[in-house]
Amino acid sequence: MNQVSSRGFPVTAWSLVCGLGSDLGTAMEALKKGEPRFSSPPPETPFKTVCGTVPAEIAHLDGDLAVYDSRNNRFLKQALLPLQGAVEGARERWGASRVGICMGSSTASMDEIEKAYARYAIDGVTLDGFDVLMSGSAHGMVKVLRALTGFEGPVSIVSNACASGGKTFASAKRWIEADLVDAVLVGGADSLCQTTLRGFRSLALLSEGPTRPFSEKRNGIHIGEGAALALLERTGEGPRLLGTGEGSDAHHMTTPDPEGRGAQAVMQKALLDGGREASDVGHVNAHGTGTAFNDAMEAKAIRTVFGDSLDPLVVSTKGYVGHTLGAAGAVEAIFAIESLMGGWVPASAGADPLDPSIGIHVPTKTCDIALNAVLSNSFAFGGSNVCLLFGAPE
Amino acid sequence: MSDVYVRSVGFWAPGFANARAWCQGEADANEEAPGASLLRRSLRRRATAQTRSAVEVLGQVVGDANWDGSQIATIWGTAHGEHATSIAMFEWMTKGEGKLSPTQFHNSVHNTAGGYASIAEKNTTTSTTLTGAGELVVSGLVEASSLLRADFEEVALVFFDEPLQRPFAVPGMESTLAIGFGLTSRADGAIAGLKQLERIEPRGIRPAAGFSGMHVAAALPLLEKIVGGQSGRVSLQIDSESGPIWSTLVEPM
Repeated sequence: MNQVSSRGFPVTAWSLVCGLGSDLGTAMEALKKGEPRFSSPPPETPFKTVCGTVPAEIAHLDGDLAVYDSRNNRFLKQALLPLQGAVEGARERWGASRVGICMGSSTASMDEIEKAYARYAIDGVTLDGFDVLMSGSAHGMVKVLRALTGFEGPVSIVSNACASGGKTFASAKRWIEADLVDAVLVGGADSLCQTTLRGFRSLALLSEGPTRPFSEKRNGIHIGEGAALALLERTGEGPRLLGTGEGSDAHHMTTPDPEGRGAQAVMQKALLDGGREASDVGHVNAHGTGTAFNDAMEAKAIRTVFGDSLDPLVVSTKGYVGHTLGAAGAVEAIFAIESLMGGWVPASAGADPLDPSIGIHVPTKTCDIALNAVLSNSFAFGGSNVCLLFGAPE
Repeated sequence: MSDVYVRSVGFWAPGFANARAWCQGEADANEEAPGASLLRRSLRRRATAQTRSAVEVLGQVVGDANWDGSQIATIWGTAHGEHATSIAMFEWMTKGEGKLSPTQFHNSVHNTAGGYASIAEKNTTTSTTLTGAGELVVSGLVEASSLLRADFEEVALVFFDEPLQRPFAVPGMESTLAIGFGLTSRADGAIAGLKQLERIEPRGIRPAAGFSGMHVAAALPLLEKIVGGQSGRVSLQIDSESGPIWSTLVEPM
């Protein structure tokens, strides 16, 4: 590495829509109280499981944006609503062409393609008017956000499965460091679809009930949905994205390296990039999927990074909202930021009784704690890993 | 965008084994499937046809640049991801045939090619897969440029897509297409430099026959200018639905 940032960039505004609520305040109230929320899966799901479904009906996209209407893109519009003031401020401060958009998604609007294909399978008629690109792909995400923000800088959509949302923060930080832009709207979105529900079940990774990361009663993941957005700017007030670490396991398409070397490497890269020591970090928002392989691997990696003398509070917030896949890195980054700013760490829902072999400090009750820095991990199919280091405002 | 240098290029489409064959119009009917020699047999057997074409082009880019494939950052761009695999899963689901294939499922993510390539090359560095449509090619260059300014001296950028399947097929997507660029921050050994990423008025870009519906084909004019040793500004988009389009200035070395 030939360029090390010690100060990073401020996250000046953030928002989310998830299974805990369709606005940040509602979601954070539930998280702090330790109250997960589960729902039944979509009715066409042919097996037992639970989902982290966004609880409210969200308005359809209309007007010029109607062509991009999908559950996924509605989440984005909803998440953007409370950020309008920050968006206008960034546009005025930097100029529209100096503000980019970097979004993450895994399946994006796959549910729309599934529905279209199901109709086709019944009558065998090609679907007039259904356009995969407009209505069923991630393409619409930046079209919608461009239209709603007026940002004219570079755009990109990261699709590294469950690391997508986290990687957008890393890309955005690089864009600003490279002076390509002065601010970037980052985040991610994914909506429930049969492909992921049935796909994870095919891998024997889907739980019948709520996920229980780090518990001796763990039973796999449950799937959630949602969107999260954050505005990263060159200067401003707010918690700082200090460092990022990205890498690949180079091990297996779905199974993490059991030694946790890839996870360990990205945590260490994030700390190095941010100019911080492990001792500065009081909380890790873990990838924490509640699968035996991930829990063991991630715990091992955390133990290696932090050593025997350090004891950060390690929480998986997937017990509250499920695995939101391509949005997860962004959703969980916002949970980590809220902990950093609020001075509290949520209980790791479902972790009690803890797996006695896990060897990391997983709180089973909400803890008040002053935090200087937090890490947020995301790991994905293809061995894609990312870790984000956030620090308290300067 | 800071200056980016092109060290190598890659190309694969049915009938065209490499960039030179494509640019010179030397079709070979025997070139039906990509070799993807980076993938050992067990990986190649599980990889999708599209992933094999993308990995084939990565191999060309890395080989021609004489780079260590275990050390470079990779960026992959695909508008539709593993569409054919998804369609196969939809068909299975609508028939109610029970569980999906686990291999098909993990082969359905957009970063399938990146995952296989990292495993094949034992490459633990960053790999980012981008999607989208009209601005996909410029997204790849922006990402590459920022990586070259930050952590890496060498970045492989590979665009790929396959035709959409029934019932979603659209005109202008006749075959798989994969295009790659070996990008570096160093001028020595480069075959071209890329400068001044900026928006220009649309120039009536006419995509190559057979690929007019493929957004990754927006990288073809760039490839052809580099291989042809030509200088000048080149468009990086094939659509102009929203006014000015992204472009870059190519300078042969």
